[in-house]
Amino acid sequence: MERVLTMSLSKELCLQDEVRSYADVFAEIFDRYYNRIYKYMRYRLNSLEEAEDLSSQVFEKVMEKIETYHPDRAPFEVWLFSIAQNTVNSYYRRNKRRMWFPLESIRDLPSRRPNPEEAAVRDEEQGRLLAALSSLGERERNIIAMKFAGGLKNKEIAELMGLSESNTGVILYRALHQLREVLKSEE
Amino acid sequence: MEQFDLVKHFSEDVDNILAGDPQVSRPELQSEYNDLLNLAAVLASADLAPESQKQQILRRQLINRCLAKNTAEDNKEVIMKNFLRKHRPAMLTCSFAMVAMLGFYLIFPGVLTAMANSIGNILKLGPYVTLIADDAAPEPAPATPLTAEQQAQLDKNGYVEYTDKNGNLVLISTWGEPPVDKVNYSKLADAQKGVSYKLLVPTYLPQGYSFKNAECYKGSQKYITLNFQGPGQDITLMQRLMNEQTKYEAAGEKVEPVTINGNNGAWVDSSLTWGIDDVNYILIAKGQSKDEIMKIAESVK
Repeated sequence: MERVLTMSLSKELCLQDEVRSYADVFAEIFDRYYNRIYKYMRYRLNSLEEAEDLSSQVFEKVMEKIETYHPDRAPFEVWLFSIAQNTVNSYYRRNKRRMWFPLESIRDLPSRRPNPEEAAVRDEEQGRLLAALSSLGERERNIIAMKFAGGLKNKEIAELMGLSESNTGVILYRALHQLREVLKSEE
Repeated sequence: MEQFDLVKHFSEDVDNILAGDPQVSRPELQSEYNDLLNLAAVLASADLAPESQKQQILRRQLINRCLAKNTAEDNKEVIMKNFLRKHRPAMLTCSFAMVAMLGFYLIFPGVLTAMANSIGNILKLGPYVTLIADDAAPEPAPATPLTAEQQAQLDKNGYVEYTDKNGNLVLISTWGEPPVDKVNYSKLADAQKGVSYKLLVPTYLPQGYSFKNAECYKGSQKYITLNFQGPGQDITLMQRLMNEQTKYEAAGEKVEPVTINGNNGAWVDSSLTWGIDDVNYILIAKGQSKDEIMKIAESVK
């Protein structure tokens, strides 16, 4: 069972060696997708710690549920980001509260990571961007995260969110418009 | 342009940006449209990974769990790793700085040769053994009992991770605790049955010492521990076949490279480790001088 699973995953992920152990395949999945999953979490959550915790949960679920993945039903990325989406949704349901950044705080948002000087400007911009994202509605934020962290097509996002493809495009366009307005108001 | 077409174009342009085309622009459209494309490019290119400092530790935790749950055989591999950890308890406590260094090695594992590769506080003996000098945190700090919440997490997940009052990241795991079938050999001549590779034994032992027993794991064929008894504390020689599954990291206050009969090795505090072909050896002889330990090691043939 494990061997079959490993081979199908290896094929799906275009791994060179099809007879590697599941632990190897899992390591490959982690290395390949951690940054994207973490970015997805950061685009949807307001804190670095929450993003790390939930990213960890996603990979734990991947480990636990990998046997339920069928390559013929959906690309691996879509399956993975459906887990990520459910993980965040469950988290919000559990906490039933949202931490909104007041817009006034965006300008002064400090960088979370000590950095060399050359990275400071970039980090500050990212901090403003992340704070601005927190002003969007949950649905808009999720679509932006799916799109720009997950790299999913509108059709795939639509399937995951139960929307039509065209509606997904409209929401994405409007969400970026709104995000731009928020950022402009801070300039 | 109708809104439907605008959105359609926008979706296509965003997909082009995501596909790596940084020059997507539609000069015929209003600057606002192009501003949105610029914003899309910023969102797509934002690299947030550097701020996630737990990435490598998560990776190790998850892969260890993956190995632990695979098969009974794999459980035994983890058990042996934990056995080694008992001799190097500093493994349980590691600073973020050390994790960052480990991350570097996970990303750039280096050449796959038997040569020791020493950079800074990390010494690699081939691809499967990593030794870490960690004088900043030589011992774990178990003095603080786990909280009920931490204990519940340990019970549920098999591990718990927390930051202690000194800011060190502490990992405690129960992996390896399930009972396993050990095989005990009381005669050295029989011990070869326990491993798939050629068992090497010391031809020199301090005066009064002799073979006591050999321990290995049923069905594993990868690990064996030879114990020798004498007037002082037991002398232990562990041997393991090195591969991706059995690779390990160990930490000590001091790690010093040595050569044993032309093979690269290292002192990790008072223990000596070295490799011969695909087999790793760890010699623990508490109470013996370094010269005496070296003499034993050089006699292993």
